[in-house]
Amino acid sequence: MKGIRSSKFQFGLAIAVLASFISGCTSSASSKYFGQTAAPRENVLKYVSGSEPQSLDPQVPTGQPEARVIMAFFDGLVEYHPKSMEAIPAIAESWEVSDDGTEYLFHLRKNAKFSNGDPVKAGDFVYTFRRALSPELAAENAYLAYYVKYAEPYNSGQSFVKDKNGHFLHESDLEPGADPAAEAPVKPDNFGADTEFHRKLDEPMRVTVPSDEKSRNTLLEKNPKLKAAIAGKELVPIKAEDIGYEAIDDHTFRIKLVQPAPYFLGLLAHQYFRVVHPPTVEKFGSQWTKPENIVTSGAYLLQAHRPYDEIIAVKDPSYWDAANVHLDRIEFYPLDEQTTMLNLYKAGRIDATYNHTVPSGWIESVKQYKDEYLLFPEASIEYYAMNTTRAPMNDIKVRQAFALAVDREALAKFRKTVKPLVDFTPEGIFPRYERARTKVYGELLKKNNIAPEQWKQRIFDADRARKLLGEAGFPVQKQGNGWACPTFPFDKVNVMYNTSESNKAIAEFLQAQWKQNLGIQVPLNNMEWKTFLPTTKALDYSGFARRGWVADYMDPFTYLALFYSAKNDSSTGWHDPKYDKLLDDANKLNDPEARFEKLAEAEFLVMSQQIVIPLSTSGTNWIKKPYVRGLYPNAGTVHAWKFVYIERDPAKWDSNVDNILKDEDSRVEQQIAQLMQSQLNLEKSRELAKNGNTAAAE
Amino acid sequence: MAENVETIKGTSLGRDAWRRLLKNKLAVFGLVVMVLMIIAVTIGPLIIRLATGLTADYIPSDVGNGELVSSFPPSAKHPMGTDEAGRDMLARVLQGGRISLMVGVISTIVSLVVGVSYGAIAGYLGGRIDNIMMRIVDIIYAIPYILIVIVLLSVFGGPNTPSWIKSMAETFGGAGNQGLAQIFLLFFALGLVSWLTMARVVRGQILSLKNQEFVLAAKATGVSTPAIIFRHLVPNALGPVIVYATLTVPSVMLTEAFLSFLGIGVQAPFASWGSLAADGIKNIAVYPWQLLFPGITMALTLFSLNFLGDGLRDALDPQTRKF
Amino acid sequence: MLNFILRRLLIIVPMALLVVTLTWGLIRMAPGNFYISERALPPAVEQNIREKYGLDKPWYQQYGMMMVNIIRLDFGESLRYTGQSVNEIIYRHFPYSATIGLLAYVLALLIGLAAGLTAALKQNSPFDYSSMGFAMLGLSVPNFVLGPILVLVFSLWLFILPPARWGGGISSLVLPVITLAAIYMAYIARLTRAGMLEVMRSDYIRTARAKGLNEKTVLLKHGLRGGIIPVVSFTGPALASLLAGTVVVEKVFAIPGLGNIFIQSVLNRDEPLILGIVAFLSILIMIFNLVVDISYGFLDPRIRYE
Repeated sequence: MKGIRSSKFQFGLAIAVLASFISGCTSSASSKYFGQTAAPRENVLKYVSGSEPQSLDPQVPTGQPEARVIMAFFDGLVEYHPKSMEAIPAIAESWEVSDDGTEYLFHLRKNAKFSNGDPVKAGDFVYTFRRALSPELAAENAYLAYYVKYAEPYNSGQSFVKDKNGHFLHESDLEPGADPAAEAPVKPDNFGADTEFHRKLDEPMRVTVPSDEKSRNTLLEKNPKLKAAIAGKELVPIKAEDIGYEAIDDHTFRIKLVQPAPYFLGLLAHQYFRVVHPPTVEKFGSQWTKPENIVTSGAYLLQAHRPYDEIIAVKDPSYWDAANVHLDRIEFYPLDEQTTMLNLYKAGRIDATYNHTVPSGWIESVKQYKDEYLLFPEASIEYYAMNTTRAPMNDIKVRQAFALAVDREALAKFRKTVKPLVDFTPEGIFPRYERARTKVYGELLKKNNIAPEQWKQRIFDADRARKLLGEAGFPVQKQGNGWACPTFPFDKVNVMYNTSESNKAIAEFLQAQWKQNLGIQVPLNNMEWKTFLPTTKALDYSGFARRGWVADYMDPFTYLALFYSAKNDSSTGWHDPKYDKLLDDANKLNDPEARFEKLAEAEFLVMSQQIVIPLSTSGTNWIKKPYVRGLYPNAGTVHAWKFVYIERDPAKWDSNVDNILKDEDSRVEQQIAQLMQSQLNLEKSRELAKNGNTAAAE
Repeated sequence: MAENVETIKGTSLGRDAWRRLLKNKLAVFGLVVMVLMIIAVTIGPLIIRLATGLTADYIPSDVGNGELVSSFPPSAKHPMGTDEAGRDMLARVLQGGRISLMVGVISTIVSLVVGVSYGAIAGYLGGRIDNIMMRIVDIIYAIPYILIVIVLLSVFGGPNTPSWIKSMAETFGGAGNQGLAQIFLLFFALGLVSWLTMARVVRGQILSLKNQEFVLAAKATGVSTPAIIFRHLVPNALGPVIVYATLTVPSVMLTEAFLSFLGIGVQAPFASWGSLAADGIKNIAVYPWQLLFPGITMALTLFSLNFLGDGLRDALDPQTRKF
Repeated sequence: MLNFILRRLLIIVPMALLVVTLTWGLIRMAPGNFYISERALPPAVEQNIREKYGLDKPWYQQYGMMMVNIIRLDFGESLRYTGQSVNEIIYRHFPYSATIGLLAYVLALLIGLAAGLTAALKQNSPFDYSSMGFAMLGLSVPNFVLGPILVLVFSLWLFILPPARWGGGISSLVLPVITLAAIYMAYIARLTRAGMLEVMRSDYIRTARAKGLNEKTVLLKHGLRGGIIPVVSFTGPALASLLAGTVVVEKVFAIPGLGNIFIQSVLNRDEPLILGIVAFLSILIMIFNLVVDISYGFLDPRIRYE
């Protein structure tokens, strides 16, 4: 008797206590700022950088959490513009691009130093870039440098083919009517200093074959012509010295590409291309990134690294641009628990977080703090890949039906931070490309007899989805208020996704959409990452696999390359030589407009085959305190830390700014203008020289 | 669980115990709540579907412009409110209860059957056999169970799921659901580790009981070893066993929630109380009902189970007396 | 007794090796590997990685090499965190988990024992019901719920304690320790109560009472020793897992403990790190269990080891 009463009492008490906790915290939400907000007295930034970095070696890790930290410690030839992510001068004070777009000449500044005082020379870049491609390091990011001549064959352990006379076999020799014995035609391009190595690089592309006998034989079996051409010839393994990197002198560095890649300059700001100190790497091997060993090249020194706790960066007073480095210290906190970082933010213990960190439940309330919550389009997309090698997804009509049965507007509304997406490149990131694409799509639709309305309706068209499914042999019938599709092989499809809160929410939403619009209940299958990867890569799934892609560089090619070549990484099993050719052709074009149009043709090919179901363009979705300035929600969430500063005067804090990317902060703008000066000067003098030449010619 | 113990002991001793149990008001309260809870999770989802058309996985994206796909506080239509996808929390809590109760019950049965006999045998026989048996427990305990679950799911999960697990999943979850099959695999993985501490607890008890007079007396009168273990020793160690069994239920429920959090637990769109609470805690400051309702339901169940456990312990104790 | 302890200590090494072997087998059975990523590696690079880590050798050679290294206490370098040795990682992160775990256990033991004892002595009293109800609350509220609620109250509402991260001195320990202790407190309280009730009925207590000893002496001198045996049985594995770190608390409070690192190592298929931590923990568990077994003898004179 007594017992029951007391237990009821406890229960009531527990609920009352809980309720009072909750009301206590919701009622405090009406202040001007989100949580405790006071500018620190020192120039210190406390930044949540994501999960614990795999390594601080710029060439090793692939993830964004590492990129954000490494950018403080290492400089590259160029740096990301804090807003647009375009290349701005860093260790290279200026650069030139050859007329055919395959050669880059960098002029390094003479005052750039490593943290131990050694000057940064062109040779250090050569060392860094060769190391980055070495099969021993086996860097996952190596593909980023594959545009450089002989980089890919070196990285994948291939050999040149040499005949008895010392002539190398060139790709042009394999073309019909070519005379393999003839000397390869060299067309020196007079771009930069003329060296023997440069002349060698200007030769046509040499034939490369795998050094490993087994894989070579498999290749030769498929290509009898090549087999005949290399028969009896000597194989010369490609060395690091063969790659198209050249230090002309201590301050001039030249790169030779396989073919033009207009985005290559922007790519060079990536952490993978940031310079390391060769003697340190050689001396300490894998231990070189420890705080006691590390020698850095960027604006900050590594003072301490306590894994899973903090990484402390302090300003390097001897950095070449130290006068323009505003923060004296950056504390990176490797956390990935969203609730934990929001708590730290509210308690005023951190100043900013990385992208996708505000949980969807919080967005409505955090959104009120306009100057703290940053939601801008991001160069990253989410889509569902489909296994086109297995029934029923091998039928284009089934693929289209499932794609059309997803209401992307409703999905975007539900997820709150994303924008609907029907094509494969993100919306609102590449405006020039999108213009070219609209034009090309218009022409292609006419050519393929597709009604423009129907194309526009790709965002959601349940009626057509049901019709298409019926045409594919799975008629959808009305059943009560909903639909049913009894003939569909329910047990053959699945949605595979790797574990994450947001992947789960999206999968559940799509499952509901398909059930409501097609009458098909697709089972969901959640896997941890390392189980998910081998399963989807081996195409060991039927139906759908959740994928996302973050741009490596600011060009649509980074997305379209995902379907390039027979062994592509799209996990769809789809491959089309026509597609490869379109991309190759596009990259041979020097005119950006024409190139974009070719790329758009390729995109049309993928989308008209509906190889994937594009879902959304992601949004940046992170928060920063109003006193942190120079930290912009750019499309890649990579921050050049030297532009960031702490504003102690609350009057100068961001206040009701509509679009922080358009807001001009004179301090940051000046700093960028100052850096750009050397490059502008060079461009101007080249312009003058060119005009002078033409004038003289006339 | 309660019923099981009841039916096994259908003798006069059982009837005696039953009478004693009914005298314990708290235990009766626990029993009533547990029975109601089992009924609710068994037929509740069906009733909700018939009455309102809502299911645990229904996302109202087909209504209007999708404005219902959002968190709504409790109302007449959704007595427990909705989650972020606009799903009815009541339906989800009831459906989650199926999984959580099942996880609890299966693991507890394994822990009772395997753990108690294993610990009792080891403790009573002692010497080298005890040593070997307990070292095996140590070894299993030291192997990371996450790894066991990952391997179990990859070897027996997905397309390799044994058909008897599939049919079991169909019996409990309706229409052929691969997602549910994984949950059953999970039950086995949890059962595999849940008996270890129980075995240690029982063995510790038996060690201190086995030299007591009543055991010596039984031995002297020629009672067989199994009979001594299971008829004389185990009933005398029942107190800690029942208490520990009731402690096992919350701990496996939480383990399941943790595995779900790692992505190797219950498959979406299914949920368990643990995973509902884990989702709810993130939004506690904005949508408190998403934590409160699953949390309170879970706590209420565990409380009742515990009162029931205590009552059972008192009722079944061969030496019960007041002092 | 000494003989018994020595024998048990000696057997720990082969047992740990057995655990390592079984874990190794499980890792090899699990899908995926440490280097698989979204981008396919060129076959030659993959070949290089496999050669570098000896993955191209037959399994028994790989197993042999691993065992030899482990016997030499050299677990090698982590495959994910390049340049960091496994020994260094364990040495660096164990103290965090151990500090929190030990504090939590001491707290749990003090409060749990006191509550359990009092509840047993005053069986069916309001104190019994309320303390056991409270213990049940500790058990039914998962720590991933309790932690954030404590943070909400003490860090974001009252602003008296830091919400997360190590390094704020004692103040940053308070919330994680309480969160971690809650569930063990409840366990200990309930096990103590049950054990005490059991013991109070046994013959030797009856004898002690019959001798006319006062009730307090009977309880504390004779009752307690037998009554806490279930608690002691529970302590072995519990303390080991507490010291090893608990993932949820480490994640909620951003503490760089071993528990989270271990889970990550499994998810990353970081074989040397997994094996290193498993070997370390298994030895820890076995030592604790040995201590538990020895303490049975002290607690209950009727338990003997030959």
